[in-house]
Amino acid sequence: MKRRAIRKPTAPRKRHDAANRPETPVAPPTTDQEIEQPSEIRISPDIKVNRSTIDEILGHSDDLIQHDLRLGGQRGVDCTVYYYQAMANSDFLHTHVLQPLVVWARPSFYEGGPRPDLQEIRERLMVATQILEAESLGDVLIGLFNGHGALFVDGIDKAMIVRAAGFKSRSLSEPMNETSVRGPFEGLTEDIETSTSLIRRRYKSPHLVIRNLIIGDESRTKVRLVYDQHIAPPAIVREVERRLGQIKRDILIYSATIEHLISDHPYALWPILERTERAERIVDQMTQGRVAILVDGTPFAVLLPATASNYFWAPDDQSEPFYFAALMRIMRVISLVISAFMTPVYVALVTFHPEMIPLPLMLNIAVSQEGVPFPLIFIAFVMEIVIEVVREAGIRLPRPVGAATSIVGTIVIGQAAITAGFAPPGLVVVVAVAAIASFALPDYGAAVAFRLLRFPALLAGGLFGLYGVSSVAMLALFDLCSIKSFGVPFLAMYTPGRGVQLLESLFIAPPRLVSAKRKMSYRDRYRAGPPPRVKARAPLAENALARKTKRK
Amino acid sequence: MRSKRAPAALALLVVLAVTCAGCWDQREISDLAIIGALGLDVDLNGMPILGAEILNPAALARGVTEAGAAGESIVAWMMLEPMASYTQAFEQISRRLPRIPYLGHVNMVIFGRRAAEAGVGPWLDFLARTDIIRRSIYMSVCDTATGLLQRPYIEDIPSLTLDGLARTTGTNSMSRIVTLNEFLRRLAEPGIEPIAMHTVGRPTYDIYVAREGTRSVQAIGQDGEIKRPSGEDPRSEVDPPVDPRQNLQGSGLPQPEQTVFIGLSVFRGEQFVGAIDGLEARGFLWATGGITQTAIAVQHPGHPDGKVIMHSINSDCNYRPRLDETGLRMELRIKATFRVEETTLPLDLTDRDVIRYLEEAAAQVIMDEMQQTLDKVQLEYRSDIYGFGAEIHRRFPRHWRQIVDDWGELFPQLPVTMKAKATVRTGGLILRAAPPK
Amino acid sequence: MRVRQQGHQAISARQLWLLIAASRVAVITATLPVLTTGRAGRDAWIASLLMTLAAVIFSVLLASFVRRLGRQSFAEYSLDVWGAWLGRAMTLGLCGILLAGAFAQLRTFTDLITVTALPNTPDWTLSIIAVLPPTFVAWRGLDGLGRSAEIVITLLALTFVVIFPLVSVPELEWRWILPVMEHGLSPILSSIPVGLVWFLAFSLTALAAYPHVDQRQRILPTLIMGNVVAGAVLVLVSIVVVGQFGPAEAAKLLSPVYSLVKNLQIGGIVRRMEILVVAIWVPAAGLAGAFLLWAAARLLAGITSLQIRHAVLLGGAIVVVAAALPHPNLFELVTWQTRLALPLILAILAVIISTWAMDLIRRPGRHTSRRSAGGASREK
Repeated sequence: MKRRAIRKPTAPRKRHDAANRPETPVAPPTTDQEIEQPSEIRISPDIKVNRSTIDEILGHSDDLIQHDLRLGGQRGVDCTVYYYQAMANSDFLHTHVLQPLVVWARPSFYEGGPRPDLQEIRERLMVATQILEAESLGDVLIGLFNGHGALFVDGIDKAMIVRAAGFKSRSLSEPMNETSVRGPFEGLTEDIETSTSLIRRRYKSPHLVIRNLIIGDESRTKVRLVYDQHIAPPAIVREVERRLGQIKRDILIYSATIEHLISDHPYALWPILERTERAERIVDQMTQGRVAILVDGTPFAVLLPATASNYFWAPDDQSEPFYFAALMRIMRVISLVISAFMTPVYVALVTFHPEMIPLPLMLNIAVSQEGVPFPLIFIAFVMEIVIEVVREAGIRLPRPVGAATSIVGTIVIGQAAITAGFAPPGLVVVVAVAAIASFALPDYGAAVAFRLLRFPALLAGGLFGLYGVSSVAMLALFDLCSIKSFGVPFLAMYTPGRGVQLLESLFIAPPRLVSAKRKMSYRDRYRAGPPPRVKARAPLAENALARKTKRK
Repeated sequence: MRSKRAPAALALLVVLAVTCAGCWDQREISDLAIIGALGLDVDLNGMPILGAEILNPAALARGVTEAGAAGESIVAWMMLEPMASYTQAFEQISRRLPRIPYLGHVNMVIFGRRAAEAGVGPWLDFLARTDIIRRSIYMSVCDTATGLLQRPYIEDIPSLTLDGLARTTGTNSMSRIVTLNEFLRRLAEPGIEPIAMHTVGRPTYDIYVAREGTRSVQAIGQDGEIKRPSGEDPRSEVDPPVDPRQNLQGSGLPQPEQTVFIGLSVFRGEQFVGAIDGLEARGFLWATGGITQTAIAVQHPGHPDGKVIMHSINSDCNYRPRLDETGLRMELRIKATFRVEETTLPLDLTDRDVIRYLEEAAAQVIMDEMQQTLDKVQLEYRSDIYGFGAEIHRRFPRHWRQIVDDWGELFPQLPVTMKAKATVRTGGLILRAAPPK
Repeated sequence: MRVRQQGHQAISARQLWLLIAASRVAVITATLPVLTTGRAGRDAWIASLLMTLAAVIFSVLLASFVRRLGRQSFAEYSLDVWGAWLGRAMTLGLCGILLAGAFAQLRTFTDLITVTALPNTPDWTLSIIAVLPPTFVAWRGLDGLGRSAEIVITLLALTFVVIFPLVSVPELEWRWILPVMEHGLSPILSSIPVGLVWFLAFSLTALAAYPHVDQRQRILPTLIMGNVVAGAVLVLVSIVVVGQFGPAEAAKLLSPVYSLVKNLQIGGIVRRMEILVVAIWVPAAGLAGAFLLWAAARLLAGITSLQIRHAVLLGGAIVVVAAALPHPNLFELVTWQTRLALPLILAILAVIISTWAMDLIRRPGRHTSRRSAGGASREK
């Protein structure tokens, strides 16, 4: 049989745009089991056949461990345990699978006895592990690839998959991109189980729902949907599941791919969904009705739906006094505007509206630009590109060289450019300030977006002055006002008249002001009508905690 | 799919339109000749002359480049051009300049005395119509406008000096800032006449008068001396300057070896009729509420040769027009608050009589000043710069409609009475002075 | 929460009145005060007050009229009432008025930019740049417009209510505003139509947007609020402008509001704030043009088989072409606004009242439910 037989034919790739998908409801995979592979290869009772099949399919890799045993002496039963050396916990397998098998297989047990069946082996041996039965080779392969061990017994047409995954992953460490001063230092990791444990530890509610999905035909990446079933609006959950179910790809590596595939506006400049590395952020947002998507292999979880106020959240906002956070939030908004528009406004003012600059400053600028041979807008573009190159190089520099080179490089470049008369000093200052301001934004995607916005604004400013910059800003504003993230208007939190919620979005409301029972705060109240009534499920009678947290 | 392409096409159209279009209004800042102030003069032949003071950034920028050479450096150029219109004059100026004249930073417009006497009306349209000149620039009349702009003092640039000086008129309230906006407002409204500032400076005899075929550029050095371009013949006088010292007797102001905003210019319509300087200007400002800070001197209560100087805290004046069988008359009520600033002989401020004396003396000083100015303005200049007409318009509109055309003749005959009330609020840190040993 | 599909546009009542108010205020900033002060002089503020009153009365009239619409849009309604051709003609007439309004607004603002900031840039470039963002946001739909209005109104409030009085009041002379009504009522009355026509135009946009409004029972307070807020700003602006320049001087200026802003300064250091204020006005002007364009497109879509967004593109194209032509120039535009104001007002009133009357005559028993809460009608 063909080696590639278990691979199912894939459909031709279409544009995976959330808005373009047909409305046919596709039931999303919701069971804990992996998607069943329609494999024609059934497990044969003859172990030699199984061995040769597996050898054909997987024998090209040397990291597959095959452990052959004979249970019960000369007349005993052949069995084989397969596992991937790097993925399975071999100690566990040895202790709980191989050793009991060998012990059990002492000849005294077997003299003249009937052939053992799976159930007996199972009852007798496997006391400490979870075991699944597999009927097709496809399931066996899935199990092997997930790090489990597979046990084939001669004469039995099923295989046993023993949960023994034990691959190494990164231990808990501080999130790299969302540092905080006094918050927790545990960030999500690449292992989805560890990430899930971080979330569960912080939200010990029975209403926390975790749904497993497998996305990617070849990569079989584990994706988890995390939400609180009584708070998250069911329509959003349904929509998310629908969109995830319609993803047809070979591999899924980054959570950014999911973000792109299920976003309402995948080609917009601004990120419509939020990505975070912090477990406490996910937990905090779940109580506001948001849904989190964890992806195995990347520590960034996707939080949706998102609004513009999420750009300005930083981990310190909740761990510091609220007035500090309020001030910092204002500063972040200002730094966003600075990063996008400072250079364009400067260029526009100097080249089109010098009457706005106070006279002494204007004289200084005039003198400093005296020797510069190029028009200001040209130099502004060049300097912006240089800054982007420096920033990019700073990411790639090896650590020992990194800090010193970047500091010296930027200082030297800046100073030398001024002294050589290539760039006017005012422009260098402005460009540098704008570059730094873009890093004050906590959300990296938003920072990138507004840094990119700087270029069309610069072009417009250089061609039409402040009117051009204003037109670009107007376009950006109108675009932000019209987009929606999963039905929630993107600027929903900035509309006036929302009381504490507006306070929360502009600044940070002190915890006393915020209602203890978090309501859904992402509704556009005038558009969505009253909230859908969620039928409360019967609480676990013995569980007082469940009764206390029952939501209406 | 169609709906996805439309915005892309829209965006592409925008980008194309923008990039193919080029940029028409862009100016490099180093291509600009920044004009700091404009002066209008009329030479002896009656030809109007425009003077534009062009700044030299290299000499004026502070510590930016190493290009600031020591020694002789030119801070500004004065370009004079006979003009039939502003636009034509600027065109001619720009032919002599390697840069584009830029009016965005014009700080003030100064009219020469003869130009102002001939009427400033024709020269205001450009200033109001063009967008680049703002309406809050200062307007002033000087004996020789273009000459004035050649005298730097304290600041490097003459127009910056004048700008600073204009803003410090508030410290002695012998003049005040008059903007182009206010001038135009007053000019347009029938019941009130325009005013401008009045400036004097060192008398200048060496204005280079442009003749046909020759133009002039004069360079002003940092020491204030004018460097004439070599090889050109010396000039003639524009007109003998009026010695302004006479108006300043007793005002305590220094004799103007340097430029000073000495008072206000009075216009009748668009023509300059005269100036009120020093204490006369203050008399006008008492009546119109333009006093910011000023000091008056009264005689010491106990000693005839002593003085008490009092500083005004605020002042307010109300016009009360009255119309009755005797006709129209105007009542002015001035209220002012003072603090005792300084005395030359001991003074006891706890004495109620002393305070009352000071108050009455202050009120008398105010009324004297106001009366002096009013007489001059009403009888000699016959121009209603106080705005009595506008007030009558407000209070008695129907009567005003009858007299509006004759207001020019009626104003000098308008009986005006005044009542001043001064209050002394504080006296600093000393209650009473110790008697001399 | 209902997940809205694209193309289904809805706007809340509050967003509607904010939209009306913001658009109206944006138009005010361009040239209106001069049209008012030209004849009314010192009494410009009284003229503005009377304008607001008339607009409120018209709002009441309109709110009663729309009750008969029920779930229909005005286009469908006029087709019902007048029959195919006359109904189309009526709707096209209103659509034309709105398109002309969009053209006038964008053109005026573009010319203001030409005079003040970019004198050498050709008109057609500026026209394209001025028209494209409003077309874009109108194409995106009414809900985008509504939300933009909430933000733009904040910007406008900042400039008008905060900066204006703070900076202008010191130089304000009350004597320019008094005495009151010295020339009687007739100059005031003769300067009312030119501003009133804009009030009516934005009430017409509310009429076109009516099927898309949630909480339609609140249409009356919505219209009134929109007009009252705009009227209050107009009164404030009239007072400040006349107080600052004097009535004679204010009547001479092309855009007194702009000239007023030229006097702003911060501490004598930053002296030319008007460019900044104009930059803040740009989104407001774009919003006003976008709203008018959207309303015209909505009416057009009602009587043809176009989708709303395609009608927006069509309308945008028309406005671009018209705005790029050299005529009418700004002065002609001002003259036309003055001359055509009263006829346009009468035309609008005639259309509304006659349609209403015709409906009453034809279907006297037809009683449309008042409570048409929730759920926007399906648009074509």
